[in-house]
Amino acid sequence: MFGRRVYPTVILFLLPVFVLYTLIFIVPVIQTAYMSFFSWNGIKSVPLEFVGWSNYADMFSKPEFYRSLKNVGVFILASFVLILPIGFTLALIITSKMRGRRFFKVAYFMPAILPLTSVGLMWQFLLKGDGGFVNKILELMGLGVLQQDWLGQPAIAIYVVVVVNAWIYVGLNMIIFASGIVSISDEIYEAASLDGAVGWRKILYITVPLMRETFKIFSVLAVTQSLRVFGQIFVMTGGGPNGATDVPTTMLYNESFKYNNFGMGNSIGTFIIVTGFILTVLLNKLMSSKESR
Amino acid sequence: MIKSPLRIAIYAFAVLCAVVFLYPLLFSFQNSLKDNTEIYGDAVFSFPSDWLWSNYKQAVVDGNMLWAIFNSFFYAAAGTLLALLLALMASFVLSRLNFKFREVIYLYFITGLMIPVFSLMIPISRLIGTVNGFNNYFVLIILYAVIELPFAIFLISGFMRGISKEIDESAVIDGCKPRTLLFRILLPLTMPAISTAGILAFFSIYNDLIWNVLLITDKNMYNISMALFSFVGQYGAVQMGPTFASIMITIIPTVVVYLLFQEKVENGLSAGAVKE
Repeated sequence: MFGRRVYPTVILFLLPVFVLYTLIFIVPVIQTAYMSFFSWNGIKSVPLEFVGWSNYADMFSKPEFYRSLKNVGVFILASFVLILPIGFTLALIITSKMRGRRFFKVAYFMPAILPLTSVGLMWQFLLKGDGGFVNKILELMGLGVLQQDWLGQPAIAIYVVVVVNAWIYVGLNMIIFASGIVSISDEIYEAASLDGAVGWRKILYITVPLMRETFKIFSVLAVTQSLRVFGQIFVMTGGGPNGATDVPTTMLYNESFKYNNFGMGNSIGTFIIVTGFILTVLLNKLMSSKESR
Repeated sequence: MIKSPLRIAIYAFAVLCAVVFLYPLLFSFQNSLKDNTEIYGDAVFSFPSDWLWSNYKQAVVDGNMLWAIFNSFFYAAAGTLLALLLALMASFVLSRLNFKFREVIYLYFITGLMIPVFSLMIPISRLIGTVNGFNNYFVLIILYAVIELPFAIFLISGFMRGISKEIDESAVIDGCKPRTLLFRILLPLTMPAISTAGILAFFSIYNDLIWNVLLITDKNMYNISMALFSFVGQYGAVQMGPTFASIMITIIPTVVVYLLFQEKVENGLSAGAVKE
């Protein structure tokens, strides 16, 4: 099309996008990697000091760093034990012929669209130690002994955050599962009914196997998105108490913008980029090779 | 319809889940109209005896919440429009024209999907510092738009590739310029992908947190996240009523938008979740 005259169009249409994208995505990636070999306190006039691999050495010798990785692991685990089963069940409900399914869909999806900062802060207050909503409910149920400062206890804070995270994102995953469910044709179900399949058998032997693709996408997302978690933690705990809920992204923020240790921040940034890249490629390969079998 | 026990159990589960998802919001609304005594009191489920709309007034006046909502809308609308325009131009070139290195350039853009932007907060804030771009609407909008670019290009160019090339050919034979071809002929045909990409970009910019935290110190430029943070930081648990009121104010516009455009929002956001 347009023969040789295509190039002026290409340049005119693509150049601005190309420049902006390179400036804001690609150059910063290179800078992150480059600056991870320097020590810098964040003040413009102070020059960078070359320190070799020492930022990485510091990072890998910090117990906090491993705890942040463990917390990512908790997020991944929760995706499979909380979000997957609940999201899938809710998807079955809203795709069934149950009365009120439209209302249910809106109800379940609602938290996912609300501003993360708003729901995060809301839960921060609902989970408060004194006079918090959760504690009050527990008291009314006669479970007063369980009352505590839910986000203030290092031992449980990350699990509380993960449950709130599930509350927020189950609805979104429900929609993804639901679109997988409705893409299965009715004829298959009819044929199965003729063969005597009923109720949960239909779900177990038809719906679940035919949704393999959707589950694969979910799994890849569960892992890669867990590595990117930021807002939920930043809003609810800021990584505290005492770093107990830190994930790599919040650790990056705290090291850099709180403690002015930008060198370490950049080594964490590089770690996130490289790990994310490897995981994405690896998972996609793994998933597609299983398919070809 | 047969009322089997299983059916009733499923229905009960559905209702229970609806309560779990909606009640915290209702509870926050109730609290937003109470004073501290009532919030800390025993009547957990009841509406307040006296509806304190003054809590909302306090959030609006002291917290500047309405202005923050306007800011968020402005960032989101301008950023989305810019992102869509840029993505549309790039997608047109990458999916309808033939030239050298086309596939390589496409991959170059799509790589952005794999880069978590949170890992780039140091170099990006440094970059913005070098151009003195802090507290600047223009700079922030460009940043927002570019962050949304890779996915918008991915969605729109994928959709454009599916439109028959014969349209282009007949248009060119009729003497159509590339610009006219894109904006007059292809744009209407690509509308489904554009609206999905647009909804996604709009929500993600509207709800932004980190870039406003890093790049804005001027209170008049706060978006909802920052305004909430500073208001809650000021009142917090000391005055719970206004705190909950400010949270509700930021939630309500989104609920309204969602209820108006339900299907579109659901499809847009779930398409966005499947980014990679």
